[in-house]
Amino acid sequence: MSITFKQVEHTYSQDTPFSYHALKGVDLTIETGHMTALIGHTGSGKSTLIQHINGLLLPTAGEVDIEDIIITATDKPKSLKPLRKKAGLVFQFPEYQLFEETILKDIIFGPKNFGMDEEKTLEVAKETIKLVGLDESYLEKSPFDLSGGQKRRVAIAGILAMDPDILVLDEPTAGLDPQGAKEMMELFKQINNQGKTVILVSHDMNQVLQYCDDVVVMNKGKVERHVKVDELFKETEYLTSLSIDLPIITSFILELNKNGFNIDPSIKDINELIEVLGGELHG
Amino acid sequence: MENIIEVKNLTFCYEEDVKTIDNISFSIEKGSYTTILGHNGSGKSTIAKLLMGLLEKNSGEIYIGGIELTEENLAKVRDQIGIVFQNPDNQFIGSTVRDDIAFGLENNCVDPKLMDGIIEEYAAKVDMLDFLDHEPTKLSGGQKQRVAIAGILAMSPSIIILDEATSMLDPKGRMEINALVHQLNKDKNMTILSITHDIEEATLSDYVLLMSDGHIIDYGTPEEVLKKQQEIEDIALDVPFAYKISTGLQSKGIDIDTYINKEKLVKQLCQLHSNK
Repeated sequence: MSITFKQVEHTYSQDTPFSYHALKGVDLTIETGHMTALIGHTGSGKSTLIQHINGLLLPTAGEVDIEDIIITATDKPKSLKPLRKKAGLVFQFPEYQLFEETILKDIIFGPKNFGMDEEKTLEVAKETIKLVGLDESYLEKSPFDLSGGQKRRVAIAGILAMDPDILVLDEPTAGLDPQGAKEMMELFKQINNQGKTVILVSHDMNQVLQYCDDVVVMNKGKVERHVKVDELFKETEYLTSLSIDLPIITSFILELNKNGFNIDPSIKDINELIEVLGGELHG
Repeated sequence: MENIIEVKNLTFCYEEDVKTIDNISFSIEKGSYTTILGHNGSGKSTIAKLLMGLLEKNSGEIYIGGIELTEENLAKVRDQIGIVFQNPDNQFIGSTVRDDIAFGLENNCVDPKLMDGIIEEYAAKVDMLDFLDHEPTKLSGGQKQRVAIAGILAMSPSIIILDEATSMLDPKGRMEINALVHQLNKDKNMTILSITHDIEEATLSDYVLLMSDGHIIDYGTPEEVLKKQQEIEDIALDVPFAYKISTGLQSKGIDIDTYINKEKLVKQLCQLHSNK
């Protein structure tokens, strides 16, 4: 099972003077169960690509195959309902999309729409609110009384409540403080460890290195790389040409290696690096 | 050293009895670069809005360039401050970059004959001269924030406040804005107040103001503030990378200073390595 893009094209406002060719012949296979990062500049096509995964956008040419649900340019929205349940999409700043009077109503909005009965939705809400690090007492509060970070958790709980097999996240930690960002990333990793597919757009290469298995690089509407995370950060010249930062730990190791050290640049963990550095200095 | 911002016993509540800003006092040196660090909801952005007079304080005093912020003095205070917000898309008024920079000048009744020259001068300062007739919405995030800064510079403020101005930008955009702001601080002696979560960015500033739950819990140079691991981690932030590495090595018995700056740490490590 996988998510496969075959020669996918997407042009916004086709046949108008404002048409914009956002995806150009994208061929891509994302393995289910992996945690995959999608990186690239603003305007490289990342957001357009992820909106094809739950059928919010249809390809203008080509075919998207989401675990055997095939989407083409001519698909009617009705046949997309099973897909919407399968793939949950969390937009950037999802807290702006909260609208209900209580957190409970907001979380169960999706499951109810998919026909879950009242009693079951309450059970699901209680489970998911805990999953995002808030307790049950929050369910009766208004989502508008929460802090920014808490609102984001509630918005994500609303997607998790539908129990999607694929979770797609557009810069889920933008604007969060370091502690909040770390908790959020650990939650996604935990969801991934339960066997779910996680695809996330990120500008933070430290996160990509630390949490993701694979990475897809987009540039000017095309997929330029789809490799293991370790592989990508070896290509320093390529990344510099795209103005993509290296993770801080990788750039630090490379800087030391330029000056006579010999440390494995694929080290991800700071404690492992301290160990190795200590060895080099003692030895 | 002259203080350009003086805040005394400032308190502000969005809701009755909930103090978002709780009796804080601080001063900012003219020409300095200060980073305001704090967790989500600590009151950082509220301070920026209070300094601009966008929110009305419950009690306390604010002085900008020696002028007290009161209803009568609002215009005189605002003339001295420019603010760049987080979302570059929410800051545009004009249909072209030129119109956008002109907006503030028109409001200040600048002679139309002088306007083109001023616009070009400031667009050049942010390296956007070639984009004057472009639509702001079609620019990249970094370019948009540069246009926003040009619009502010054209008003010649002495203080620029960046309210997480780079948090929605990609790394290239972030680098562009940080470099520009450091240059304005150095060359034009502009006072910079940068609100951020980015501890690595804070290591490059003159002063750091640490906030938690509406209080200032620490203030000093990055060297003084950013080495207090417990204090920083207690408020949901993270210590600088160089600090973690240097203290980690110390615990392994390596004789090395405690650093917050990565470049300085690399230098000492290389020295130790070559002396081995």
